[in-house]
Amino acid sequence: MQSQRRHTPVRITGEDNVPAPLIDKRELEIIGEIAEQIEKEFPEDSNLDNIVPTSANEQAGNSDTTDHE
Amino acid sequence: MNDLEQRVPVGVTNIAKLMPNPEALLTIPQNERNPGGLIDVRIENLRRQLREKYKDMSPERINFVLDFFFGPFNFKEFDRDKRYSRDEARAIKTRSASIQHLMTHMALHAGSENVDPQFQLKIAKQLEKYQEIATSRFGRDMELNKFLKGVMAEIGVVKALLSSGCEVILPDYQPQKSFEDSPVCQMDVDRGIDLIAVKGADIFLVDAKGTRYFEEPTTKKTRVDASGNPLVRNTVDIVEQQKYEWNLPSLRGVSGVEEVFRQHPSATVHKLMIKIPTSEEFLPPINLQDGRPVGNSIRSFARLNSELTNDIIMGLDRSRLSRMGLQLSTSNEEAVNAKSA
Repeated sequence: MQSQRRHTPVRITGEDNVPAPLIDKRELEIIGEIAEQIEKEFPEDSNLDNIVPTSANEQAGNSDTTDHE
Repeated sequence: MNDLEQRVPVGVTNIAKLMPNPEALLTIPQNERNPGGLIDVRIENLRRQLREKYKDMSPERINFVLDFFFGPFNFKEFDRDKRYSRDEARAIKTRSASIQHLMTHMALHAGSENVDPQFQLKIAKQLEKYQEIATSRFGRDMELNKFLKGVMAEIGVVKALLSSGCEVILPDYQPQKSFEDSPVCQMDVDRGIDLIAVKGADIFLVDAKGTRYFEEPTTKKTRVDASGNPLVRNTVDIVEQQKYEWNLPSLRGVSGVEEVFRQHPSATVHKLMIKIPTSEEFLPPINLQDGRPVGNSIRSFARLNSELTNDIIMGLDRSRLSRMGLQLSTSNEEAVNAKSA
C-alpha cells in the first residue's frame, strides 16, 4: 500500500528549464520497454486504417451501447 | 486466421497487438472478463507479467506506468456506460486527467535544454506512435485522437504561458492512496483547473481547452458557414470567470492550489478558460521524418504560432486590468471573519 506523502506540484519556470517527470529511472525503463514493443508491432509501413475495432459492449451483448462507428 | 483472431473480437486483437504477449490473453476464461471493458483483460495480463518481473515495485506504480499507455483505450467504454456512480466517474476522470498531465510534462521535459538524449528520443517516438494510432480510423473510433488533442491543447497553452514570462505549475499527477486525495481530482476534475500560471502579483487558475471548430456559445453545437460546412476555429478565446461565480475560500486546502496561495499571499487570483484551435494548421503535430534534430521536432510539437501566443499574452494582460480577480489578502480576512462569526 502506498504511504501518504507530500504532493509535489511540477514547477516550470521556462521552456528550457522543465523539471524531470515524476517517475523514477526504472519506471522510465519500463515505459521504454513497452514503447519498443509498440514500435515493433506497428512498423512504419503498417496501415492502421485497416484496423476495424469492435465495441467491447457489443461483444458483451449490451445493445444500448452499440451506436459507435 | 490464427488462434488469437478466432477467439477474441477484432478490436481486442488489435489492441492486443500493442502488448508484448497477446497470446497470453487466451488463458483468461471468457466468463472472467469484465463486460464493460474487454481491454482491461489484456492490461490485467500485462500487469501480472510486470509484477512478476519487477517484484519490488508497488502495484500502484505499475498501474501508473501501464495507464500511461493503455488508460486512454479504456475511457471511451467507461464514458458510455451509464451504470457508473458519480464517484466512479470522478475516479476515471482523475485517471484520464493524470495521464494527460504526465504526457504534457513528458513532452515539455523532452524539449528542455538539459534533457537526457535517450529520454528525448523515447518520448518523441512515443508521441509519434500515439499520434499515428490516434489519427487512424481505429484511434478515432477509440477516441484516442480526442485524448491526444487534449494533451496537445494543454502543451500549447503551457508553451504560450511560459513564453509570456509566467511560471507554470502542473498538479502532482502521481497515483494517491485514494483518487480523492489526488491534486488532479481536487483541481482539475472537481474545479476545472488544469494548471496554474503565476506572473508578478497575479495568479491565473487556468482551464486549458482545445476545439477544432467554433461552437455555438449556448448549445455547444459546431457552428457552420452558409454552405453548411463546419467553421474551423482559428482564434484564441479567453473567458474570465466573473467574481460572483466563484470564491477563494472554496479553494482553500485544495492540494496544489494552497501551496501557490501560501507563496503569494498578496496576489490577485483570476480564473480563466483558455480555448485554442486544435487543427494541424494551428497546433502542429510531431514530425520526426523531416530531417530536423529530434530536439527541434519536439520543441515545435503543439506550439502555437506567434499570433495566437500573443493573443494569449494579451488576454492575460486584459484579465490583470479587468478587476475581475480576487485579492488573496482580502479573502483571508473574509475567511477569518466568517469563521469567527
